[in-house]
Amino acid sequence: MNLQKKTLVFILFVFLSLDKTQAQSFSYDLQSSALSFDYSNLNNFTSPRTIPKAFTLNIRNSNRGKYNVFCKIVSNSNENFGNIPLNLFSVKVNSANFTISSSYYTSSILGLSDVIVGNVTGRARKTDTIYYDLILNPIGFNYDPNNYNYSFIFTVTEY
Amino acid sequence: MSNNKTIIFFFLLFPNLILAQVSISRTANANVNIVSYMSFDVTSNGPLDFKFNNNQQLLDGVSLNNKFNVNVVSNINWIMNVSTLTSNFLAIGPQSSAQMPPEILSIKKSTSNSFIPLNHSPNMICLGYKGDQTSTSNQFKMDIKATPGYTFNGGSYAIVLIFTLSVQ
Repeated sequence: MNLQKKTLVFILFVFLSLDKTQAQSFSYDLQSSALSFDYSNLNNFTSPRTIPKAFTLNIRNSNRGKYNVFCKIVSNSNENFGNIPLNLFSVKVNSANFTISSSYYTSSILGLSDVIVGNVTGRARKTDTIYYDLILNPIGFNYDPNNYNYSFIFTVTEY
Repeated sequence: MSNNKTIIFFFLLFPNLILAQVSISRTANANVNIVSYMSFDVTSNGPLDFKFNNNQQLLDGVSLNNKFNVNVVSNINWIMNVSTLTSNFLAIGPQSSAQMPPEILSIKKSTSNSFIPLNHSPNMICLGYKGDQTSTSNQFKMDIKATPGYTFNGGSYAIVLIFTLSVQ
């Protein structure tokens, strides 16, 4: 084996080693509790309700260890858009297995556009669990009685 | 030749080293069931007593203005009916007439011009729209009037009024 070949093998070894130590892929999964809610008595319409730990995000970090969590809702109801309650939901961090900024422990109202509900740094190659509370906001009496269907879309983006 | 191979290997491995930025979305579905909700309260400003002290009052009637306060909370448009529990007043005392009908009473929203006679059957008094008591149409006062005329004996009479809220 001449010198150039040895150099090549060495470089290849180094890269492969780096690949093993640094190339943990980023992934996450979302779990939710039962998300079926009735508005049937006066308190439902006028007072907020909190569903603790309604969402659980399990995040497996790559070597970046930095990501944002966004959330938005999509309406799946066949209603005229103006007749669908859209300020119905808020989320906030309930707890996490690491320190997360206190600002995310206050609730954010969800809408049709992404709202940032978490910003995380310094978690390279670690596994994170974040629990979110869901808050059902008072909707008042201006929306028609009906069955409304929504999707919560959580997007976790590395940066 | 070896230098070229080195460069090729470098570029092949490069994507693993920089790790592509990742964005992952996951979805959870929710269902919200809003049921029809209606509630209201009617309170009376003081006792609901009519006293007729002269013939003119018997003939023209006595009005008690703003006698009822009404608050409605509803997520559907509503109508309010009023009826009486019985088909005649309860005659109190030996001189009172047994057959005085509820039609001698009439009621209206304070902002309305015309009284609507009461009956054992429900009569629509007013309507309103979804909203709570802060909505203009959902908080109001009512006037009530009694016009017995000369037909019935002097005495005491009583009757129960029933206010009903229903869907338009």
